[in-house]
Amino acid sequence: MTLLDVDNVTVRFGGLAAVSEVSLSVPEGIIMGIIGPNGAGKTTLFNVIAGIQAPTIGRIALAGRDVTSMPPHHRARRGLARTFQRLEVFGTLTVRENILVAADARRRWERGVSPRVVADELLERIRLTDVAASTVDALPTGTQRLVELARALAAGPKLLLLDEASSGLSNFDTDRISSLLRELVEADGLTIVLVEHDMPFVMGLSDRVAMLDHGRLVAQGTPTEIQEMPAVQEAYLGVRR
Amino acid sequence: MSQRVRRTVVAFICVGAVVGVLAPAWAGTPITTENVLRVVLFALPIAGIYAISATGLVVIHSTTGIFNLAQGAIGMMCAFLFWELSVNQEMPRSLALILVLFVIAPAMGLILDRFLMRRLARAPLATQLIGTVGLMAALLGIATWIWDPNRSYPIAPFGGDGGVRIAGVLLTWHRIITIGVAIVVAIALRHLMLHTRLGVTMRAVVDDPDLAAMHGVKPGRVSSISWIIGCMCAALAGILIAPEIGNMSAETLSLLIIDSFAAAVIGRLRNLPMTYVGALMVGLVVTFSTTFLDLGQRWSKLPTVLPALLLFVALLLLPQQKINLGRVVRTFKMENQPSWRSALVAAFVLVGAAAVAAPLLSDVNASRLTSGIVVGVILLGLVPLLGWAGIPFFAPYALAGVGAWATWRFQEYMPGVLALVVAGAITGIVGIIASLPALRLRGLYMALSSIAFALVMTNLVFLQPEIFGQYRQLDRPSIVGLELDSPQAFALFTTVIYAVIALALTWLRTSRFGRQVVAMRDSEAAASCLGISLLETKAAVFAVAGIASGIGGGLLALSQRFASQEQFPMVAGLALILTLAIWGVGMTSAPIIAGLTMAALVIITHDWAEGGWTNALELAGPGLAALALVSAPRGQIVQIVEHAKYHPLATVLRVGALFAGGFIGVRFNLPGAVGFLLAILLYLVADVLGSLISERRRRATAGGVHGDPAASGADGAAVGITDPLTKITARALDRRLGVSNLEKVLR
Ligand SMILES: Nc1ncnc2c1ncn2[C@@H]1O[C@H](COP(=O)(O)OP(=O)(O)OP(=O)(O)O)[C@@H](O)[C@H]1O
Ligand SMILES: [Mg+2]
Repeated sequence: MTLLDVDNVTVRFGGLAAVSEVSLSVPEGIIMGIIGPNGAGKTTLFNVIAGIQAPTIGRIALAGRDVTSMPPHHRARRGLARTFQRLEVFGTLTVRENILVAADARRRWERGVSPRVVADELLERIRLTDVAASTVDALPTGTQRLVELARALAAGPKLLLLDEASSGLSNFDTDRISSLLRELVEADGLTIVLVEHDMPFVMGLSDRVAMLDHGRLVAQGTPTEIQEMPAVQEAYLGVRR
Repeated sequence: MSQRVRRTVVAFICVGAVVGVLAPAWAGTPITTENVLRVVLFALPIAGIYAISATGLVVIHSTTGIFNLAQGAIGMMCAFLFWELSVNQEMPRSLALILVLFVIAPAMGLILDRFLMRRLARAPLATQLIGTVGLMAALLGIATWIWDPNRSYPIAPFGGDGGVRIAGVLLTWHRIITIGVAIVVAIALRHLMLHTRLGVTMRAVVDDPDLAAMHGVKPGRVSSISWIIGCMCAALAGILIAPEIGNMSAETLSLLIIDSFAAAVIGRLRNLPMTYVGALMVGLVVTFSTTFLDLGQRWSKLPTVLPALLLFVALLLLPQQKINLGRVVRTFKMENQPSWRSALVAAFVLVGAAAVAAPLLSDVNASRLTSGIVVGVILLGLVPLLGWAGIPFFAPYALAGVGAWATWRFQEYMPGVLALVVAGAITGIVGIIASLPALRLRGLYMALSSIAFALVMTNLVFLQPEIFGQYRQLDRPSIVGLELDSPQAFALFTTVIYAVIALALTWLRTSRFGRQVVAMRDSEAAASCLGISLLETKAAVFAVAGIASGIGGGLLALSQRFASQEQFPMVAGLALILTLAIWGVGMTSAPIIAGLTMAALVIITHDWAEGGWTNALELAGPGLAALALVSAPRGQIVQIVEHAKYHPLATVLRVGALFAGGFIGVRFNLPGAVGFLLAILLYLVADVLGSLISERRRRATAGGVHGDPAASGADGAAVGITDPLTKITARALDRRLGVSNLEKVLR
């Protein structure tokens, strides 16, 4: 079943089309990678899916239901969670409180959740237990990114959008996140869409990859297919046809 | 709701309201060409003044990012200076005019920019606004100090008495000159912006300050020039408006200019031509209402709040402010989260101290104490709003007034204490209504809308016959047979209520809800993407604020045994916020200290050391202190606590000396001024002694000073210094780095 349907979405900022005529569907239970050079419109597309940016044209559907005119919090209650490329942590709260805020909110639409248990479990799983009591603003960027990931997971999403989750992380952490994400998809049935600049990371992890360039969807396929496409090579390796 | 639907709805409501007021109030003035012409001709000079003033606002805001709430006060100061020079010192008028406009006003702009505004430019929005409110209060205070408010200060209109008769309508020379000046200002600024190097530079800064700086633009110079232009506009507006209002008073003059906010907002705070259009609209609406309407008792004050209403409508018609992404402005941890236990202990100590002290106080002193604590309860409502949620809401008295009214209204149906609770609930609901603009407006626009809200409440709603149309008498309640009639008992009663509300707030802050509110302040985008409804959360915060401030308002009415509109003026509300901000907006301990500070200032002003300089103290004191806020945006309590941590002895000495001075003053019935001076003198001596001692101790213990890393200041953040760069931390840095004296460099 398709979990996320992006249908012919265009976003214009004045004269600039940051996203144009993008259609994309993400089936349940896969990891989908989105790549593309700087300014390709990846973050803007995420904002449209999450409801922070209204599309100029086009529709978004979550699990078959049109959510185009829904505010972000209603989409979240339908199982959408995300992280931000430019971090949006709750800076004056502690790491644990950041996670608790998400787990508390979740109790509104999911019964039988114990925020404390969720928080402790995630702190353990993402290995943030050591810094659990630190104020987030005082932590390095890499750790803050992990806090965002933990917070998004605490919301108990079905669909997780990760915007450059690995940037600023050590190689060790990247590997750790990589296997965690796989595990989430395989064991917990999560669906993940991730935007990445780190090619080996995204190619190694994704089941499908889509590429944006100048706001347009220029290629889509399995990692191997994508790597062989001329458009991709042109954009990434500067090869001219 | 889509933009179009919303605009239609707003338009319908406005038309409905206008028709609803117009139909019964129509004065029957025939709509003749002459009358219409009269409206237009009278609107033009008013519009001219608003336009000039708003131009100053727009120039300053668009280049420096600061919205100058003191614009009116600056104009007021200049108008008074003009009076001083031309009337009192008998200087030739033209010379006085040139002096004020081209020497004094630019000098003011330059000084303000250099010493205050540049530092404010990097502070968080709330601090910026409070800084300019502080400036307003300080200028008001200074003006009342120099120019006794009980005398009159007439300025003759320019161009004498005559005028030009256009189709039977007399337009005085002064008004013709006003219109002319407004046009000249518009043309001059347009020329400056479009055709001079300076203008190009200024526009570049507006478009992209970083890029402009990269191309060698000196931002400091641009900001100086903006402030000079802004102050000159303010002076011009002030001097032109002064002859129009028969008796010029510092307060009316400072507030008249709030009317120009609407014009500036219609110009979206950056478009000068649209600002002129906005000014014209405000002028037309005001003159229309005074020409064609015969407003009865109920709506008699409507013309004075029309600009505020227009401002409100203009704000609601602005395009929805998007959820900000990427935290441009650093969030500040405005609140300290005391542990539940320490809060409980503090509450008990407070009530215990009041229980011991109250019976010892004279009636007068008990009432004074009560008035301070009552203000504290009103301010408690602002703790969740300003401190936790970071919503700049500047209308505490608007909520308090509702509480006072509800207490009076329900007093006859139920026991007094219960009426107070009901009043809290009702004000909570009003708070939710007041939160509606907050759902669309953020930052500066939210602050402006709350000021408009305060004006409309005090000058229109509270004057309604059903509210405070008449003198409303209240009787003090009794709890389970305990009479609260004596001032001492009532002082204790208010203290207990303060402690209960403060404890409730502490509990709320540590609860799920408190976390959620702070999360929303830190990142609205992330909060809403986690399924948190911003709408509900903000409404809930406003409801909490309404409950606390409403109970405070009820207490205020009970303590004075009556309720009236004059108890809740807008400016005094701003002064309250100033005082709260000085101590720290986010802590439940700050409001009572702020309330007592206010009470102390009132005491000094009115009966301790009456006359002369103390008259100014009530406003100038908090005003000047608020300016000090620039260096301590999180408030004095945090500062003092931190200082006390490193220099406990000095702190004890200082506080002890202050109390000793006060005690000696009161105990030996010294004339107030002497006691007050003694207190300050002792404080200073103790301060010097204390710093000497702590200096020694510090040298003896060579350990490093560890600040709370979350306690971030604005200045050094860019270079990775997260503590506020105060002298103390600078010294600590010195020692660690082995540099001789960073402190000197700082200065
Ligand atoms: N709010 C906005 N207003 C105007 N233009 C915008 C806005 N947000 C994004 N843009 C522009 O839209 C384009 C796409 O931006 P976007 O951030 O989506 O790209 P991206 O693919 O995420 O890039 P990166 O890899 O650098 O993160 C860019 O040219 C950007 O400048
Ligand atoms: Mg991006």
